Amino acid sequence: MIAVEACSFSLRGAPLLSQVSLALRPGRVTAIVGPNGAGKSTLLGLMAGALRPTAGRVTLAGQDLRGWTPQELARRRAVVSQKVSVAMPMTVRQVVTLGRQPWRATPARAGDAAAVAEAISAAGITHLADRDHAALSGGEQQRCHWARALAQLAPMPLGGLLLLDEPTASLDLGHAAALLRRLRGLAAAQGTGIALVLHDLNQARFVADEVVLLEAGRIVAQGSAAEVLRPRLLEPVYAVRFHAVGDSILADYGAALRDAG
Amino acid sequence: MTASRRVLLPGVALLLLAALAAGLLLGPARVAPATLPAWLADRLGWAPLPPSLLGEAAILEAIRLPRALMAAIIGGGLGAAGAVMQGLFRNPLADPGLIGVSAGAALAAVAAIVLGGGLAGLGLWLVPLAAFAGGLAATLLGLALSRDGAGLDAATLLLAGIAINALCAAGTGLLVFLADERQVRDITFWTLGSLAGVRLAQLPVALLLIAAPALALLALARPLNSFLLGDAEAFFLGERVPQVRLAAVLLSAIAVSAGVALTGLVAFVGLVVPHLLRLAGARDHRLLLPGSALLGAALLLLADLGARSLAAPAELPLGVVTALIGAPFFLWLLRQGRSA
Repeated sequence: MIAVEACSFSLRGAPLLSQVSLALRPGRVTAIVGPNGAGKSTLLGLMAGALRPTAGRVTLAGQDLRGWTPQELARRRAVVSQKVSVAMPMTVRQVVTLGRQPWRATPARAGDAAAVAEAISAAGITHLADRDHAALSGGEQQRCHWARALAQLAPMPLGGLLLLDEPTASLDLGHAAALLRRLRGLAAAQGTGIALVLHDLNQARFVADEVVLLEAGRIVAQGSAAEVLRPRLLEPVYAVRFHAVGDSILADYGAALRDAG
Repeated sequence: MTASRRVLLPGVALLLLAALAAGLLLGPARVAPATLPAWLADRLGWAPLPPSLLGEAAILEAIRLPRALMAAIIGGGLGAAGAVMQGLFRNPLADPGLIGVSAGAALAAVAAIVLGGGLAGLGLWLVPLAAFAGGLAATLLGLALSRDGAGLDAATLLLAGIAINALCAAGTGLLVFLADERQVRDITFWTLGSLAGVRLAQLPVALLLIAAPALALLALARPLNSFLLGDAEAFFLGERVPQVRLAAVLLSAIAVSAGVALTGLVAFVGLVVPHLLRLAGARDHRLLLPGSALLGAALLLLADLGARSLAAPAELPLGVVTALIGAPFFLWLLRQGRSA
């Protein structure tokens, strides 16, 4: 379990997050939503250990993240970043295989080939496995790094922890649905604890057990998807009107465009 | 990867052996190929050397061998350091010279020549010592300037390297301005690089300061693979990013400074060698790093052979030969990259 305890974070004097608390529990999916610049990726960076809070602390299994070595962290949590650039020519399979780096010199190494193949198949990129990463479309690259995280996650104890920053941003609807389905499956079957940043509130509505709504570095609402994703809470944050249609929550672009006209 | 791995390293190793044999056997004085096994057998205590080969064996041992071994070690160090720098900075155009190693070494060597009154009076060690210290000092300055909290900022290190390069070049220029004619000739001679001056006595130094750091660099192969995805991803994959970067920069700087100290400036080996291997399919650093060390060794051996035979009995400067081969190749590479 990762716990963010009353964390604040500033960068060159600019406060990006203030007094945020959040727990990432095994088997639960937490969606972090909010407008641009609300601090979503910063919060994910704190949970991943890439950023150090300026106040408060982040713990993994009760111990401050600073006490964990990078390798110990990499054997307990995997991260899917928004955008990864690959510096030199590498095939998709080589990139996915890097997900096995934390497991070198462990018994899990024996499962490398199988885990890589499984991850590539789960991300639907088997037909791209021997292509150069640079020759892929944005969405295909995103699926390649998704597969890399799956390969890293496979041997983790208790299903591990998975942090994803806008994992569906470049995906078409079908592949986005497949990824969300896989996340639910990981949480339910392995007990993986998952936190993901999402822009599509409808995706959050269906994938998340818990939704955290951020605005200007503060949590304005936190709770079940049904509790948080309500027009009354969302409209002041996004300055857009929302309609609840069945279980879905839809932004009213028509009204927004009419207002602009 | 596995197929190229199986073929590539043995292939490059064979090339190195061939280059080594060529470096030992070819030159102005004739050394028959049969001398080589006979001399080896004698040195290993298997069979005494036939008296007819004594003269050739003496040339082999006193002149060709130190030169060939030094060329191989220095070239290996330059190749490995180049591959590490390119992986570390995620830039196929990176080279240890980029962070100021060579310029710092050159400045200190030129200072030793000018302030010491010329190469002749300085003995075997003073100029190399100064060059080595200068290369390391330039690197440490760059590292100090690019410290960023606990880590090192790669972009700042590169930018600081540009400034350090310019500063060292200006200092070198100033010293050349102050130097007398003989010193200017010495400086030119040193700057263009040559293996003509190396002695067998320098071999332990080369092993300690070039071969050992180059071997240590090979251990960074796996982390460097993760670095290809960027610092953030390397950390997510469990790498100690600041420590790996510091070790890579320091070990490369030691190997390259020592190489420059022993031969003067030898351009383009560190830049071109990893590229050649990438063209041959080496992407994994576990293959690229040892391959670059072996290929760098082979290419510097061949370049030195060219340096002493192309204009025989005169000797071309080694740096001129490597740049004459390296620069056009590099330009071709740039064009290839653009059309790809």
